[in-house]
Amino acid sequence: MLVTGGGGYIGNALCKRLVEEGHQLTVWGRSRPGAVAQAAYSFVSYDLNAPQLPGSLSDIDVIIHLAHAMDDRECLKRNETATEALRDAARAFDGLVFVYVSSQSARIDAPSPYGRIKWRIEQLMDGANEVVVRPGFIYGGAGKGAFGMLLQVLNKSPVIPVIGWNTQVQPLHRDDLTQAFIQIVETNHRQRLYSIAMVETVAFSLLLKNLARHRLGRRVLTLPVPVSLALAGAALCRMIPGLPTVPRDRILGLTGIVAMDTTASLENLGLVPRDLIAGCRDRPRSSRRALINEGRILLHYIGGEQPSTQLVRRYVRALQALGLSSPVSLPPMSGRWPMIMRVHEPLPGTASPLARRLELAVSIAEASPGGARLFAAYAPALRVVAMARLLLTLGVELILMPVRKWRR
Amino acid sequence: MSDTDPGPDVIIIGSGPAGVSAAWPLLEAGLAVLMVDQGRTAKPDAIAAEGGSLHDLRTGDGGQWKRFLGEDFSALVPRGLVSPKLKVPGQQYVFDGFHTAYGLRTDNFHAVGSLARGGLSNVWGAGAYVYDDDDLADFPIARSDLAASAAVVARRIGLSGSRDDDMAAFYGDDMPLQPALELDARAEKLLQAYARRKPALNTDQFQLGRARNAVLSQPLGARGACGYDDMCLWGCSRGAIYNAAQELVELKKQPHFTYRSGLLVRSIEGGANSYAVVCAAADQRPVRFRSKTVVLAAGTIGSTVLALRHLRHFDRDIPLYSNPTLAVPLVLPGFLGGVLPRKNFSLGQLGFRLRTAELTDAYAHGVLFAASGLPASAFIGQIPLSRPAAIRLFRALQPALLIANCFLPGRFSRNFLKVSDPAATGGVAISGGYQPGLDKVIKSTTRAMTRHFRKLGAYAVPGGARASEPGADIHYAGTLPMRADGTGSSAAPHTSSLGELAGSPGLYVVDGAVLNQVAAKNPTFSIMANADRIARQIARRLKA
Ligand SMILES: Cc1cc2nc3c(=O)[nH]c(=O)nc-3n(C[C@H](O)[C@H](O)[C@H](O)COP(=O)(O)OP(=O)(O)OC[C@H]3O[C@@H](n4cnc5c(N)ncnc54)[C@H](O)[C@@H]3O)c2cc1C
Repeated sequence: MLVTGGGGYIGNALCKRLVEEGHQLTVWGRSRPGAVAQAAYSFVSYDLNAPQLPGSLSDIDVIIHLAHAMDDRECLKRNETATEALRDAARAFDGLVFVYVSSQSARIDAPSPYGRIKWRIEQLMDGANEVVVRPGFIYGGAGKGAFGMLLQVLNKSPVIPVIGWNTQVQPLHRDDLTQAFIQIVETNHRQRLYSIAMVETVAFSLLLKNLARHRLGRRVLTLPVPVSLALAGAALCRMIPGLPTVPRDRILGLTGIVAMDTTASLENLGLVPRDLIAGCRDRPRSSRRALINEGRILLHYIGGEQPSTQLVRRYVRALQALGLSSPVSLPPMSGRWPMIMRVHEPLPGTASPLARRLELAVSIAEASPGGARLFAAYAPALRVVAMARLLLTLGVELILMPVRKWRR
Repeated sequence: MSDTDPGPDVIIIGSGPAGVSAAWPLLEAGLAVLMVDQGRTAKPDAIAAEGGSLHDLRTGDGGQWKRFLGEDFSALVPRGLVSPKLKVPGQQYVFDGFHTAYGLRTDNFHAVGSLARGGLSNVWGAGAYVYDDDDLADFPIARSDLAASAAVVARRIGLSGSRDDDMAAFYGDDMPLQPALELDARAEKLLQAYARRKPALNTDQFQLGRARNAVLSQPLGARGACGYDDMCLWGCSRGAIYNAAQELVELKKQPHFTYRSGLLVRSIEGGANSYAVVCAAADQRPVRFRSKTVVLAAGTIGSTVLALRHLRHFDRDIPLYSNPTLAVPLVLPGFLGGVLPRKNFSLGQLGFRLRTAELTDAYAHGVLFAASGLPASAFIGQIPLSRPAAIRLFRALQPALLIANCFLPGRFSRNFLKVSDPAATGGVAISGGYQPGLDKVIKSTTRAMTRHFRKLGAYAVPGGARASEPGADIHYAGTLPMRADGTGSSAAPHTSSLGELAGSPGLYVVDGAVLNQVAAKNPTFSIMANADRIARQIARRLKA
């Protein structure tokens, strides 16, 4: 799996998720995805302006092309040449899937050069395994990139200028977009074009108010500003050092939005975007403690006794090395009685994040002197006793099986 | 080296079993040999193989996780159903860089290759048998052509096994052998049951005997004999398991031998007894060597790619054979809930050969392994119980377990390899598949194994049989088949019965690529014998 532009706002989340799903990941970009353990992927420095691709695609099955240079007008055009070069290289490999991440503003007559160039690049994607994704207005998750800037403004200023009298957007939580990429990669009935966002449009001012309220715990006023004034303001901002610069294209981009019908795409992927309030509420939280807790519960469950802190720490280190840094959800009582995991454990053969964690916990528990006692019958024991205990275990298993099935 | 320098008499590419086997006869004939190899070695900070048994390590060493899981936890990266050998953290260097170096892409094929000193023999299972006339049916050579070379190779690398049981003739009984290794208690019991029940068995359909291994039961040169440490999977500290890298140490002592590592061979230029081997050094700087005679021993995939690039045979599929494989866990009830041995040998204990209604003109061949040296976690995920219950069950099961690993003839495989023009991507694509009807053969083979072993008191674990993905056997062959001299008019790339690439005099191939087919017998020993045979002929030609 290759993600270009993996160091950005979307890229970070996508890369993290891909690694969690067990994909072998290569990232090409200007920066690394800081949210992902370095050992979990390989990184190649990539500049859209460079005449040559930085590496071979020979190990790649899927490319998700996020990289987009925004610096200036010249640069916009180079996106097209670079994408074409990447596409041509990809076409040399049968079956390689190329996912191009475009924009809701992509139109032949878009008011912004950004929208126009996105449209032109979309036209390049006419091969059998080439897919275009048009996401709506992306928000949520870690405060990085344009979204981070927005949060900053919301956090500082009590009055927020909003471009246009009644600008409407179709919000899309970043993690829903990530989910959409995962589904697109996995589906067998891939569409050529995906429009992904909430089905209904929402006033941009409402999105901002909700973000301020639920994410930052603030109330803000929004003030409609005509487009021309906003552009002038942005130009002014650029001249005064220390003020955040808002690219002209971003402002124009917001004005050129035409509502998309996303129902067919969402249906194809079986995706239901989260509602606005829930999406605005998310707060990045520190997970190390949760991972330690998870390790303690799972290792206790597997070993039948309190695990040593060394073993728990090794579990957490392993998760981090493998890029699995978010904790899985465990039943509330499992902290006190890890053995209730026996009812909660996914049925054999189910692939789920919890099943994967259990598999890791088993391997880590085994590779220790305590593990040798538990897993390997080196020590002589009374065979009758051993067999009786085994039968008891299997009996309990038989009784619990229907409960586990039902829980699914 | 200037362009007028005539170079060494022979350049060999690769230091795996095939490469070293070709080197000895050439050196013995007094020829100057240059071996060019990527030659990766273990990382300096890797955990070395130490003395001591698996039991001692597992029960006593708190740092064991570094060896079993890797300090970077690389053994925990999901990889599908593959041999646990491929996951051993300290041995990742054996496989590193291979796919990237060749631009290899695969589709439904588990490709494994090596750029290491000694190649894949650093991790192999060391099952070593010579092809017989049945196995060589599609070949332009007969068993008698391999006999002398097989004996030479057997003496060089050390084979242990039995000369007088039901498998001996099948494995080859006309070569020097060390005594068979001591049997594990389960294998012993099975073999006794076989001897006892033989009159009632149909030994036409099913034969059982001692495995034949390139593992020492007595010291040989610098290598020690097997100490039954049960560490075969994790790295033998005694050098009892044959590894071509061990021979390289001896080769380097020969006056006319030069070894150059750190070089990735990219292409063979020139033609007709005037070749340039073009390599890339670590800093991508090109390095060239010239010789009249070049021997490709880069492993089947590597040699095939270099040959096809030389022939400019691009963008066309050529067949590649491999053995469909099947693993069946067997339980000997008398050992259930018993004690795990503290001393054992965890490569092949016994070998068996099987015919079925679907396999009349050929046979399946299998090896039985003790399970004591395998990590329980490899099995626990496959037991349909909760983890604690699965652990308890496996603990009771493991002392009673033998794993039967069974290979089917390569003609049931349907894989293709394609090299693309370096002017385009230059990559290599392998697509894997099986012949229609293999399903039935696998089913009937599983049934037959179940039936035969049941008669000996070993029961197949219900639902435990696993067929592997194409390529996971790592026995690749048949891409540049040998054709009887004079019948080489076909357009498909091929070699003469001496492994000389058609249309390129002086360019030889000596590894699995030139085997016409891969029989159900693991091929490496036959590859080595064939390399020795070809090298003897090359020496004779060059001396004439
Ligand atoms: C886990 C496992 C178990 C196995 N068990 C058995 C078994 O029990 N019995 C059996 O018969 N076989 C077994 N095999 C297969 C066996 O290992 C191979 O058949 C054997 O190693 C092939 O030898 P080779 O010399 O042809 O190639 P390799 O061992 O692959 O060696 C290739 C050599 O070429 C060099 N090389 C490759 N390309 C280049 C290049 N472009 N430039 C420079 N150098 C290059 C490499 O560095 C290496 O030295 C097993 C394999 C594996 C992985």
